[in-house]
Amino acid sequence: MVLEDDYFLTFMQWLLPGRQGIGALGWFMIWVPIVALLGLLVGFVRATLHYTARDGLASGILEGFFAVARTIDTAVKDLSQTSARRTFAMARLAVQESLRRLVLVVFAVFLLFVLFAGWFLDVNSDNPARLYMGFVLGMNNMLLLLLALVLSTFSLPSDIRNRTIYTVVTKPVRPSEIILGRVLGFSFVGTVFVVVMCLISYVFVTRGLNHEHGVDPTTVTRQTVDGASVVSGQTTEDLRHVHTFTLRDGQGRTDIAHGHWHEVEQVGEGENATFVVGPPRDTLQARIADYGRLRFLGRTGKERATAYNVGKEWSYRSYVEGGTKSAAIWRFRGITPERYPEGLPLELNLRVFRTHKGDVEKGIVGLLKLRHPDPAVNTESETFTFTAQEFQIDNLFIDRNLRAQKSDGTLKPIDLFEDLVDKTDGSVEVIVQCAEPAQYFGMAEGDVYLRARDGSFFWNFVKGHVAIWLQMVLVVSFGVMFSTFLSGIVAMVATLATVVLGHTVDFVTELATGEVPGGGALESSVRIVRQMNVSAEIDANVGTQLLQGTDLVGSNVVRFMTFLVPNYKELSRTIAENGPLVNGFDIFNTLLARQCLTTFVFVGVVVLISYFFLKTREIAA
Amino acid sequence: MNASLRRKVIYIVGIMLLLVPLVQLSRPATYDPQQGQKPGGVLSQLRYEHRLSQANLGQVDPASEGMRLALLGFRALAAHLLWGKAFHYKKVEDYDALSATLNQIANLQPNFLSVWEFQAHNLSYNISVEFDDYRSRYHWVKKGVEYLLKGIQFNRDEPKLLWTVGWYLSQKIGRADEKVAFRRLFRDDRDFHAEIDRPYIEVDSPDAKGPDGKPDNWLVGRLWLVEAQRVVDTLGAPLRGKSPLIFHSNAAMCTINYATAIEGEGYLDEKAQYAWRRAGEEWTRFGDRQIPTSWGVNLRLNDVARVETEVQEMEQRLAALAPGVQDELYQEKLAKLSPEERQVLEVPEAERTPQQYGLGVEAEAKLEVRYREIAQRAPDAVRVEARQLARDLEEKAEHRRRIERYRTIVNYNYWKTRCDVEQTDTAIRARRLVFEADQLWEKNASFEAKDLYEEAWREWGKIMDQHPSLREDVTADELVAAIKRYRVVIEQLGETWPPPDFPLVELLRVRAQLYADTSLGDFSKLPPASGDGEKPADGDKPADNDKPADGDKPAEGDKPAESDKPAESDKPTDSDKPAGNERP
Amino acid sequence: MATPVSEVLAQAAPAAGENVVIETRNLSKVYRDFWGRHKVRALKALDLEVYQGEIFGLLGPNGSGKSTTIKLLLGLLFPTSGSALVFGKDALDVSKNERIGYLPEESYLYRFLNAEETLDFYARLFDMPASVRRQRIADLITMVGLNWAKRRQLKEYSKGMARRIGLAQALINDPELILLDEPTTGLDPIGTREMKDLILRLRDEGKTILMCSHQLADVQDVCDRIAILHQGELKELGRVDTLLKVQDVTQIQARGLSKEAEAEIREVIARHGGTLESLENPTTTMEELFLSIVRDSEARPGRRVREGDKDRSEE
Repeated sequence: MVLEDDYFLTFMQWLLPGRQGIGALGWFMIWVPIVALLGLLVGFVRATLHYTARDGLASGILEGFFAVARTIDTAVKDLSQTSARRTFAMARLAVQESLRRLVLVVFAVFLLFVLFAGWFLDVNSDNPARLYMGFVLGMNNMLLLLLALVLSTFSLPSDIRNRTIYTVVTKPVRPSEIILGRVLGFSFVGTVFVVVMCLISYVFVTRGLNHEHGVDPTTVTRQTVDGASVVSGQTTEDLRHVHTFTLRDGQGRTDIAHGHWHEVEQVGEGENATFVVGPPRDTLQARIADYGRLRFLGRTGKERATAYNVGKEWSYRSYVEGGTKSAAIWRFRGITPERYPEGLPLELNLRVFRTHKGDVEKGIVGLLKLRHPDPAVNTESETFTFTAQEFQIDNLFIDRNLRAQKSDGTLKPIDLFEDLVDKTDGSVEVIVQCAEPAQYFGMAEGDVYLRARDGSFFWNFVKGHVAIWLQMVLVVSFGVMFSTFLSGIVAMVATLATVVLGHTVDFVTELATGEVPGGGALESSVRIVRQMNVSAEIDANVGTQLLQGTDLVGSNVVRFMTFLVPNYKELSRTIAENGPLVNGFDIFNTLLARQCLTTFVFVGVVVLISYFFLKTREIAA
Repeated sequence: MNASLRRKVIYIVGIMLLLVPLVQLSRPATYDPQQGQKPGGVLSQLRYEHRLSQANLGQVDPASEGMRLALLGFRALAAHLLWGKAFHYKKVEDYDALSATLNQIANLQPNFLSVWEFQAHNLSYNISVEFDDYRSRYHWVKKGVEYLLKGIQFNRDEPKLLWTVGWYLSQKIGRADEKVAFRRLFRDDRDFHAEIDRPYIEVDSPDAKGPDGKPDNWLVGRLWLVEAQRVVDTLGAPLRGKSPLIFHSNAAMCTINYATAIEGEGYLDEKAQYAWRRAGEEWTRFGDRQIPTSWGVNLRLNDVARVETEVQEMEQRLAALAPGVQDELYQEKLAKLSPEERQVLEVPEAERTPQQYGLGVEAEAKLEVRYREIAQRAPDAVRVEARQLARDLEEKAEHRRRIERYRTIVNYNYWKTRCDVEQTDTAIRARRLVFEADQLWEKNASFEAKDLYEEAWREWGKIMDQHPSLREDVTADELVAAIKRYRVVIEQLGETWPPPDFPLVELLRVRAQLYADTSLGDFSKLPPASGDGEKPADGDKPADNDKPADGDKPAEGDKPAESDKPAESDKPTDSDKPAGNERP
Repeated sequence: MATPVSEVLAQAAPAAGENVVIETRNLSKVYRDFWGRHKVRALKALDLEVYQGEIFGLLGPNGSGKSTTIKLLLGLLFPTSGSALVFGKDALDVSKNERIGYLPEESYLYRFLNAEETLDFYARLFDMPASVRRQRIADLITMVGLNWAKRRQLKEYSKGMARRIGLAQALINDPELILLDEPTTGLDPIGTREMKDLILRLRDEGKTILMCSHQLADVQDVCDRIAILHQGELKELGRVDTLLKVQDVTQIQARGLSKEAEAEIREVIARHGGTLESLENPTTTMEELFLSIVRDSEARPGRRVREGDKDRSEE
C-alpha cells in the first residue's frame, strides 16, 4: 500500500493552517472569494452589456451595477425563504423521474458485469483478493459516476425544452429549491444504487474468494520430532493454488498462498487419519494500523530526511545501506500497556536492493531494535534479526519482556513500557537496519506499523463505497449546475470533462509545469505528424516556440480549472489499487471525514452557483 | 401490475433465457492443470477440434470480444491508455496490477504479436529481477511464459511465439544468475510442466528428461523450439524477421547446453557422454538441414566438403583446358604491382603494421586470378567450353563461400569438434578429474587436489593437442578458473607457478594472445608449440551467438552486481536480453 | 363609429388602486440573438390594467405579443424595459405565484406521472396542510372529470384529457388570478363549452382571469374586457359589449315576418335615407372587428386604430 505524507494528518492538522501550509481552511478562504469575485464579475459584465445595448455605456454600467446588487438582494431573500417542503417535492419528482428513465439499464449492466466478471478476471493472479476488489470497486465507481452523469444532466434541459418547467416556476418555487431538489433527488437515487451495489459486490467478492481444499494424500509425510508427531503435506489445488501445511499433534495451518491461509486439523489417528482444511483466512482484512513518524540516519549516523536513492524512478521509498550506521527510525506514539498488553505487534513490508548478488538463494538479513526516544535515557533493547521479505507483510511480535545489553556485554531483562516508552507521550522508537554490507533496504513511512487490531472488512468495504458515494454526489451537483445553462448533451460533456479533469489533476499539473515529455497538445500533434518520439529534441525555431508558448498558456488555463473542479483522484484514493481497502487496511476515518467535508463544501458552492445561473436565466427565451 | 411493467419483465426474462444458449455456445475453453483442457462452449470445442486459432473463427473469446465490443471503436485508445497504466504500475512496483493490465491489453489486441513478446519479456526478464527472493524470480519468469502461452492460444502455429517460449524455458532458466536454483525449481514444478505440455511437446517423454529422470529445462525448451521448427517446416509459417539460420540452430544448441549444464552439476559419466552424443547428432542434423538464405537460395552447412571437392575437381578441369595459364596470369599481375606492394607481401601477415595490412590486402586482391581470365586465354577450340566451366566454377565457389560464412555465424566447426571431443572417454575423465579435484579443493584437501588436478591437466593436454581449436573457446573459462584454483593449491604447497612442463601452457598462451587474459601470468610471448603453429580457420573461432549478451553473466561474490537489477529502468533493455534476439 | 378608447376606459375603469390585479407600464420586450443583436421587437410599450373579478381577454394573431405578455407577467421572460406588476409586486418576484394559477398553451406536464401524482407534486409546492392537499386533489380530479383515469400516466392521455389535468394543476392553489394561455385549443366543442362555463364560474367565485386566445368566439362569449394586440402593439382595448356595438349599423332580426312586412321595412329604411345591407343572420362581429383591425394595421403599420375606425365608418 502506498501512503503519501498527508495520509497521516489528523483532521485538524489538515483543516487548520500549520502542518500542511495554510491548511484546507486556508485554501477555502482563498478560493471561495476568488470564485465569488469571478461570479460577480461575470454577472456584472453580462448585465452591463445588456443595458449598454439599450441605453448606452454610461447608464449601462450603472444599470449593470444595480442589476448585480438586485440579484444579490433577491438571492439572499430567496435563499432565506427556501423551504424544505418544496425542496423535497422537487427531490421526489427527481426520484420519480429517475426511476422511469435509464436507471434500470444501468442496473442491468451492473448485474451483467458481475455475472460475467469471472471471464474478465485473471485466474492466474497471485493476489485474487486485490484483483477482485480492484475490479468491483473500479466498476462500481465508473457505473455510478456514469449513472449520476446521465441522471443529472438531462433532467433540467429536458424540462426546459419540453416547457414543463413553465408550470413549475410559476408556482412559488425558488430556483434554489429546483437545484437543491434535483441534487438531493438524484443523490438519493444514487445512494440507493451505492447501497445495493455495495452489498452485491460484497457478496461477489466474499463468495468469489471463498473456496475449500482437500488434502493430497500422496504428499503427506509423517515423522516424529521431539516426541510430537509432525505431519506435513500439500492441499489439493483449488482456485489455481496449492498450500503446504505442517501439523503438530494434529493441529496446524498452511502457508500463505494467494494472500491467505487455512487451518488444518487431523481427524483420526495413524495411517487412517484424514485431514480437514478450514475456510480461507485473512483473505479480506481491514487491519487497523498504528503508524509512526519516520526519519533516517545516513552512513555516518547523521540524521537526514531521506536515506539513499538507489536509482529508481519512483522515489516513494528511501533506501538504507547495510553494514553502516544507516538506519530507519520510526517513532510511535501513544504506546500504552492498555492498548498493547502483551507487546508490540509489529509488521514490516520492506524492499530489498542488492548491489551484488550475494547468495541468491538467501534473503538479506535485517536488524531491528527498540529505543527510548530520549537520548538522555539511553536505553535500547537487544537487537532482533529478521530476513527481509518483499511484497508480503512480515510479522514481528515484540514481547513486552525484553532484554537489554549492559555495559559489560551481559543481558538484563527490561520491560517495554517501563524502560523504553517515554511516559510523556507514550512514544517509543523502532530502529531498522540492513545487516549486510552493500545491500539496501527500501522503506517508506507506511511500511512499518503496529497492527493495533483488525477492523471489520464489511465496514471497510462500506467506507470504500462512501468514497464512491461522495464522487457520485459531486457529479450530480456539477451535472445539475451545467444543466442550468447548457443543453443536455453539452451539459453531460461538460460534467464529464470535470470528472476527467478531476481524475487527471496530476497529469495536468505536470503538463503545465513542463514535466511531461513531448510537450503539450500542439507540440505533440506536431510530433505525431513528423513521427518524432517524445524524447527527440524538437528544433527550436520561431514556429515551435510559438507552439510551445501556446501549449504553455493552454495547459496553464487547464491547470487553473483543476483548482475549480473537485479532485476525484484524491477522493478515490482509498479505493485505488494502491489504497488501503484493496490492500487490506482499514480506511482512516479522518481521511473519510476530510473527504466528506471537501465534498460538501464543493456541493454547497456548486449549488449556490447553480442558483445564480438559473435565477438569471430567462426560462422562456 | 400495469401493462408496460409486465412487458418489461417479459423482455428481461426473455433476454435471460436467450443468454443460456449463448453461454453454451460461446463459453471459452479453460485450462486446468489437474484436469487438462476443459473444452468450453460449442464454438470453442469446434475451434479446438479443427486447430483453428481464435483469429480465423471470428474471434469468439468472450472476454476479449466483450471488451472490444464494449469499447466500440475506441479499442486503440483504450489499449494506449492501458499501456500507459502498465508502465505506471511497473514504475510504482505494483506488479499484480501490472500483470492484470497486461492481460487486458492482450485481450484488446490479441493478434498483435509484439504485445505478447514485449510484455512477456517484461515479466520474465525485467520484473522477475525486481524480486529479491529467487522463488519469486522464478515465479515471474514463469509468468512471462504463461503470458506467451496465452498468446499462443490466440495465435496458434505462430513460430515466433513458440520459439520465444522455448527460448525462455531454455535460456532464461538455464543461464540466469540463479540458474542452479531455477533449474532445480523447474525440475520439480509439476504444475508448470502440465502447463507447457502439448501434443508434440511431451514433457513426460524421455526426450525431455534430464539425468535424474525429471524434465530438464534445456530439453523442454528444445522441444518448444523444435515445435516452432515443425510449424515452419510443415505449415510454412513465416518467421517474421528471424534469421532462419539462428532460428534452426537454437534447438540443437539446447542439447549442447544441456550437456554442458549436467556436467556442471556433476553428471560426469555415461549420462553426460550420452548427452554429448545426442548433441553431436543433433548438431549434424542441423548441418544437414536446408536453410533458406537472404540470397534466395537454400544451402546446407554440411555441404561444405562436397562443394569443396567439386570446386577442386572443376579447377583441375579448367587447368587442363588452359594449361599453365594460371601461373602465367599470376606472374603478369605480380609484375604490375608497385615495389611497396611487393615489399609488403614479403612481410608475414601477422607482422604487418596497420598501413601495411591495408596495402597487403589490396595487393592480394590485385593478384587474384579469376576463372574467367583463365578461360579467356584457353585455346580457341575449347574456349567456349572453358568459359562455361569458369561461369559454373564461379557460381560453385560463391556457394562455398556462402556456406562457410553461415558456418562461421553459428560457429559450426567449433561445436562439432566440441561434441565429438566431449563424448570421448578421455574428455569425460578429464572433466571428472577437475570436478573431483575442485571438490577436494573446497574441502581444503590440497595434496589430494593437486594430484587430481595434475592428472586432469595431462588428460586435457592430450585433448587440446588433438583439437587445438578448443583452446580458443571462451567456454574454456571454466578450465582456466580451475587452473587458478590449482595455482593457489601449489602456491600453498610452496611450489612456484607455473610448474615445469605444465601441459596446458599452450592454452594459456593462446588465451593471452587472443583475449589478453594474463590473469595467470603473461604467456603471450611464449613460442607456439610445435606442430600447432598454423592459424586455425576463422570458422573455428568460437563466437558466442548462443550466449546472453552480458546481463546474465554469473556474478562473483565480491564483484558489484552488474546491471541486472539497478540499471534497468522501465523498458525491457538489452542488458538482460539474449543476443541475436530482436527487441520486440 | 366605435366608441373611442378613452370613452371605453372611462366607462370601464371603476376607481383604480386596490382593485388592480395586473398592471403593465410601458412594458417592452425585444428578443435578441446569441450575440446580443436585436432580433424581434415582440412587445412595444404596453400599458394595461386588469381589475379584480373580471375576465380579461388578450386577442391577436400569432406572433402579436399576447403570449409574450403572459410570460412577462409570469416572470418567465425578463422585460427589456418597462415594468409588469402582479398584485402590486414585480413579476419577477416568486412570492406572487402563491396567488396565481397558470394554464400554459399546451399541457407542459410530466409525462411519467399519473394524474394524482401530478397534482400532488404541484400541491406540495404550495403551503397547505396534507389533508387540504388530498381533498383538493380529489375535488379537482372530479371537477375535470378524470376520476376514471387518475392512475394512468399522462403520456397515455389524449390531448383533451391532458388539457383538463393542466387546468386542474392551475387551480391547485385556489388562485386569485388565473392566466389561461389559449384555454380552448385542442378541445372538442363540448370541452370548449365546459371550459367556458368553468371560466365564467370562476369569475363568479370572484377570481380574476386573464386569458389570451385567437378563438374569437370564445373571447366574445366569456370576456368582460379585451385588448387586441398586433405586431406587439396594443390596437384596441375596452369592454366587449361596447367594442362590438356598431352604432351606425342597425341589425334587424325578427321571426315570422311576411314578405310584405319585409318590403315595408325596406321602405322605412329607404325613407330615412338608410341603405338596407342585409337581412340575413348576423355573422360574428368580433371576427369582423378583429380582421379590420389586422387589415388596417398591416396597411398602415404603427398607426393607432382610431383613424382606421374613421376610415371604416366612411365606407
